[in-house]
Amino acid sequence: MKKSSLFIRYMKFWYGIEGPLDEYKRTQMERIGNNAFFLTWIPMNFFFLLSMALNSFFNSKVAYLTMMFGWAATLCVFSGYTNHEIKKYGLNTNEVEEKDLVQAKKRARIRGWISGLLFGFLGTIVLSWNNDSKLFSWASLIVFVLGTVFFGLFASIMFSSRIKVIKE
Amino acid sequence: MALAKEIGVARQTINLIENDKYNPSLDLCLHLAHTLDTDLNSLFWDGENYEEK
Repeated sequence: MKKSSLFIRYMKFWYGIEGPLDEYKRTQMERIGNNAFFLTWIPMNFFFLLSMALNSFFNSKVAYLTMMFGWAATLCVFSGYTNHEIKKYGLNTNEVEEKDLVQAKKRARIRGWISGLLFGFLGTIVLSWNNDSKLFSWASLIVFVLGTVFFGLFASIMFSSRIKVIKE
Repeated sequence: MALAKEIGVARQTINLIENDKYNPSLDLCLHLAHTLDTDLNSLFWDGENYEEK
């Protein structure tokens, strides 16, 4: 089996694809990516131009808020579309045989907790940076622990729910 | 599952091909035929039943 490149592994990570990236999954992934690009690109350009126009008629704050809310809404649509399509075509289903079920669940839990740790760590850095507070303080520690636990738990459950047992 | 593993595709892909929900590439077709030790005609066309469809 060919060793997949870093880019392929990165794409598989973001689409939640487990197992081999075969031609069916690759075709679906490219189709979803293409559609998502246009779903995002056109509205983002529209909101950008609208904010430029609003800036000339009103003030820069109105323009900034229009652009930010527009882009946030566009990202929500983008996220909703990609999640819907990935679920519809079963791209992130992790099919395992019964004998591999325990190992697969263990891997899913470990992956979930690693995601939780990363989220907790990044969240702590962002919050302490925004609030000008110290990175190593009690507040940061609480944020780190809570972020890690809740996101880790959520991610573990999410990865475990994607496991599908195949009965031969 | 064993067939999917041998060819290097997901079981889901084999399932979709069997249920006529996905048209595989020629490369995959040839790989399937070779693994199952048969030819494309026997694998993808019933022969007698094809015209009835």
